[in-house]
Amino acid sequence: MNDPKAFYDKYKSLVYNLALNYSTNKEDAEEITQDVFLSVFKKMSSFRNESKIETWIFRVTINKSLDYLKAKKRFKRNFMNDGVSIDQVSQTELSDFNHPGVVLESKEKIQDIYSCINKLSEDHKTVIILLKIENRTYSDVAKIMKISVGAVESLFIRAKKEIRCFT
Amino acid sequence: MQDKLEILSTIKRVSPPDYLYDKILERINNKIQAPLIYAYAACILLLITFNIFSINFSIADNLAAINLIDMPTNFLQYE
Repeated sequence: MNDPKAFYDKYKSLVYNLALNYSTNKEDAEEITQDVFLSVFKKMSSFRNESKIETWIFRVTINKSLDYLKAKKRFKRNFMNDGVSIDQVSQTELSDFNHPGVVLESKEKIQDIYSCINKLSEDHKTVIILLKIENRTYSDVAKIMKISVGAVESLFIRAKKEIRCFT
Repeated sequence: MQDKLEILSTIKRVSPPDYLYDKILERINNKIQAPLIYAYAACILLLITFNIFSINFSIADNLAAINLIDMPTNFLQYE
């Protein structure tokens, strides 16, 4: 990576949109994008070319997004009170919904689905986002998550079932 | 539910704001400056410690001088 600006320009859209799909908030996505590029620039020398660089960036972005959301949830729970339930925290997450990629007509429906997605486990959430929003193939998702294609399929089926339970 | 999830594919891709790269550079520069701040802090601490020791030594010296002054001089005078 000789030119950091060129590298940033190449992957900025991938990182920002993925972070946006996890956080559903513009400001949070900007924070996550900064964290991702800081980490990538720092660890670039230790990157082994075993996997495609894009797959690696996907992994870093997913991890940073999940870490960021966990920290945010922890902070909110501490701030609001110790006795706040997960449902209440999910509700406050919805009030933060500010996804510039969502068109106004479908905003309400997408917000409803996100209220269910936010209750899923990290793996289930990742599978839904990568398959349904990022439009990645099962094989891509398997490489990103370092699991088999069969495992991705079963995760997706279980995630869909869980979403059905929540609605 | 399958149809419900299909609506997620309508989410459009957006471009990140232009100022984001400058913010990243700013954070990189801040990270580089952080060790320098620690170095300055260590120097200041070292100076303070040195000062405390030197003050303690000078107090001890003064006390010794006072002891000499307070010594009864009678012996010398009458001898």
